[in-house]
Amino acid sequence: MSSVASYLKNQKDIAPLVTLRVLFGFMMAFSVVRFAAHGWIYDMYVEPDYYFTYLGFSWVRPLGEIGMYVLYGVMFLASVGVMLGYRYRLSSALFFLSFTYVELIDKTNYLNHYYFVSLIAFLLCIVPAHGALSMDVRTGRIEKLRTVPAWMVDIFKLQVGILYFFAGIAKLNPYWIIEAMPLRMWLPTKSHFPLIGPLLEMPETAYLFSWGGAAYDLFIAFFLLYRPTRFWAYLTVGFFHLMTAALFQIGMFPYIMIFLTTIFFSDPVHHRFHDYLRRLIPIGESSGAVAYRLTSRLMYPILVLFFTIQLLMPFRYLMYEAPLFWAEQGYRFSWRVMLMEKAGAATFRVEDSEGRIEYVSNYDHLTAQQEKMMATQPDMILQYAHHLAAHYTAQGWIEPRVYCDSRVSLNGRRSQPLVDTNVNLAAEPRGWREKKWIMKFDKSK
Amino acid sequence: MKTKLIQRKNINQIAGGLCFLLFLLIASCSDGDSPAPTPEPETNLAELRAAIAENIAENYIKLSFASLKTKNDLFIVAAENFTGSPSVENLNKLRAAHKDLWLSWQPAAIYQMGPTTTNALRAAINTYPTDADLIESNVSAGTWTIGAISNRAAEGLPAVDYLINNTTGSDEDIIASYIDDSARGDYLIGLVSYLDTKISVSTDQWQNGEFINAFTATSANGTDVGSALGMLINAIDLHVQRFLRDGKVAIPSGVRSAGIARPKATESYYGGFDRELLIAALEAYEGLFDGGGQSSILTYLRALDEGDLATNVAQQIDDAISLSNGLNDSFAQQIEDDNQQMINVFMELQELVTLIKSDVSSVIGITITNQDVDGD
Repeated sequence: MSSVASYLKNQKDIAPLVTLRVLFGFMMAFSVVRFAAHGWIYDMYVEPDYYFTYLGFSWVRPLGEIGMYVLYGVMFLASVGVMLGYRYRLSSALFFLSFTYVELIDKTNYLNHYYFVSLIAFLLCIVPAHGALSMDVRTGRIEKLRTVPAWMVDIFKLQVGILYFFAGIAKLNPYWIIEAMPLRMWLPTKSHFPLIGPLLEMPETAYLFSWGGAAYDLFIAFFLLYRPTRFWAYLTVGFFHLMTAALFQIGMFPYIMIFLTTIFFSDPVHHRFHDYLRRLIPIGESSGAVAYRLTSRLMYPILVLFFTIQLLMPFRYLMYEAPLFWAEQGYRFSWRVMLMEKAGAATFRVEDSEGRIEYVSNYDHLTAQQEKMMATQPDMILQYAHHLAAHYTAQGWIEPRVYCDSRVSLNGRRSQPLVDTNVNLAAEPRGWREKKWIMKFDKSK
Repeated sequence: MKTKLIQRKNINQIAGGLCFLLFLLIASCSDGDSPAPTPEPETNLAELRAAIAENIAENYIKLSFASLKTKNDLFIVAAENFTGSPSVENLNKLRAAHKDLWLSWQPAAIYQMGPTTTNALRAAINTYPTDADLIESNVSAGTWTIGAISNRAAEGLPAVDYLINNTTGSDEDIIASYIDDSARGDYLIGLVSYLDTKISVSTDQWQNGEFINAFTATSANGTDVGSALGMLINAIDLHVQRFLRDGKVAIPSGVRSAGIARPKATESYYGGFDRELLIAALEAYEGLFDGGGQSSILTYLRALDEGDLATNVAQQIDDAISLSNGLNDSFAQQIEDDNQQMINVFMELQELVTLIKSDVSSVIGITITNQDVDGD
């Protein structure tokens, strides 16, 4: 107990935290611009007629076309504020709230790295990362900080470590390890690449990447923590993520990881980076610097809860009988990254007591992206079925029943029915209970 | 003292580096224990993808549009002959040319991408059901704006279908309606000219434009969004669902409207050759998937060791053709006689959609979505 107490009293140089703040703010500002430039604000949050909300978060709605652009505008300004350390407490809170709000609108757009961004943004809200190299210090809004409690730096290492380690554990499954799936399907699609192209068609390469990727995820955080291996580990981080960036369309994630893993660097490296920045942009900070003293202990239980939940989330799938990859019960928020190739088609039939029968054109209700995500994920199939029931009721149908004929192909196997076609999904409740209407998965097909 | 420190630091770094290399070595060596990897595919997939793009561009897309253009030119002549001197003979010649053009559109219609999309060619050629009231009010008013979106349902081949095949009277009545009111012939020629403009521009762009070059370029050799296979399979997915399954069969049969059939929503309601149009479309798919003995989507599936899937896809198209062959020439008539037959064809086409959306796209590594979004 005393060691915990003394750890909490430990102080560390603020420098790693400041680097993280600057790089994260910069990356997020860039990401927002990139997102808008692709037209995704419209495609994802304006165009759809229906949104797949998260259980308990159905109150999170898109804000309309102007509202969404304003929200992204706020997100952009907030990320610039974070980068510059300008009214940092407000900026970091605004960024966390706006980003997380957007992510909660539609689970179609769920990505592990968005979840990661939300978590980092939350942690940044509770630390004084503007204690140096910031507008707030320059303008005298706050005192310049030399050190912060050690845990304020370490929580970021823990967060990055959790992401990697759980991503590694998730890869320890028969598809990934024994079949080298899905890389064995994905890599050959890049075989027109110069130089490495022909290698990508070889199954041996898929095995090398699968096994190497699993080992990387499992151990990289430890090699980054351990000073003697840090330099080589960071080179590997760069190589690994740049490779994935070249091979897969995963957006900003590789760059976010390359930047955020700098949190593991030793203080002098950060100071050299800060001196470089100071030369680039004369900031003119005061020279005095103090240690940051925490005045409230409120954060301790919150952080314990924050990390405990994260450690448990990836294992919640154990509560369900149906295979995880097939039924996806407890799949999200668990660092299961690029873990499977899944594609499907779902046809919905609606009937009512007056003998009306209709086959639904999904494209009348969903965007192509929503339809694709829905077709393979049972919880989304159920939500959509409920939406259809409501839609047809509004059209004057009497207690419509909704049936789904879905065929899903998992990791290169032939497609099989995902949902029991005889079950009226309109009558099945949403929730965390086992979904009994999910069909058995025949792995041998 | 200082040098000693540096030395120690270096030794630590070297030791750490060696440690890490050892780890990498172990990680990569363990690869050797992996259970018998399947033999290397005999075909070079990248080359095969390039060959598929080449074959489809040259022997399918370009040829389809060349044929569309030829039929269009014959159609113009027939239309001008008919409006110039309305007679039963000229009417029948025009009907034949119109049907030929419509049939030749079926293979070209598959490629819902590139110039077809940018020129909104499909909507211009084949918007149905046609709006007979709007056509009549245009003709009686004597003014119209062809090409306006509001007038789209009174244009294209289905509108011409109404103008030359409307069977409320005899052929003589049709001819008389053109002699009595020159606006009718003017409207017909207006439609024909607009089609000609659209078809000529699109055909030219398909034959010589940048799109087809991009389609066959090395950079389009993958399977991602923007690659030849990615674009092609997304175009097929869109077309099979919306225009083959839904437009030709599902919507008229009423499966999209609470089971209430809509016989007037058939493709050639007045000419009554819906079956031929459907079969032409299905046969176009049969040919495209097969590749005419050259590299094709089915060849690619076989190269991926998915021969069963290739067989299933070919069989599914075949089944749809056989079942469609049993339908009446006129789907309106078929719906009246026995709509279940239509629904059965819908089911077969639905199976085809499922195969494309789940198995084919997954195995080839195509994302069925026109959004170019990030994954993780």
